[in-house]
Amino acid sequence: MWMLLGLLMALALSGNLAAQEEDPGYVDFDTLDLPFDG
Amino acid sequence: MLRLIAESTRDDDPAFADLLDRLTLIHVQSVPFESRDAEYVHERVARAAARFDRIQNWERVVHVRGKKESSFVSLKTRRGRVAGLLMVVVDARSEVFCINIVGDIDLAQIGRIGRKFDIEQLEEVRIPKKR
Repeated sequence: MWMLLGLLMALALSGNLAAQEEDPGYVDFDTLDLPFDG
Repeated sequence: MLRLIAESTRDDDPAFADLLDRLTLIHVQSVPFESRDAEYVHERVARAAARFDRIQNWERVVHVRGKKESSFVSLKTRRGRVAGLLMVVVDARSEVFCINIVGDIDLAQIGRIGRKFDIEQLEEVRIPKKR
C-alpha cells in the first residue's frame, strides 16, 4: 500500500515538474548564464 | 506545494489563498559571490536581461544598473495576461537573487507574495502600471 502511495506521489511530483517546465513563464536559471557555481 | 499553502491560509486570508491558487511556481535561488567579481557579475546580469529582451513575449519592465546594485524584471505575457515573472537582483552584499514566478500573475499583488514568503526583493519591486 505504502509503496503504491509512494509511486503515485513520485508520479505526481514528476508530472508537476514537467508541467512547470512546459509552462511559458518558467525560466531555467541555468540558462541565465550567471555564475551560480562561484 | 502552493496548493497546500493556499488551502492552509484560506481561513485566515482567503484573498491570498486565491492569489496562490492561480500560481504554479515560485522559485527563488540566491548565490553569493566574491566582491572582487562584482563587475563581472553585473555584466553577466546585464547580458541576461538583454537576452530575455530578444525572446518572444518577454518584456523587460524594470532595469536598474548601479555601481553596487543592479536588477531587472522581465514579464512573460500570454493572451494579454502575465504568465511569468523573472527578477534578477545583484545586491550590495555580493549576492545574486533569481526569482521566477509562474502562473496567472496579478502584478499588483507581487509585493504581497514577497511579504508573505519573506522575499524582500519582491517586496521592494515597483512595476510600472503602463507597459
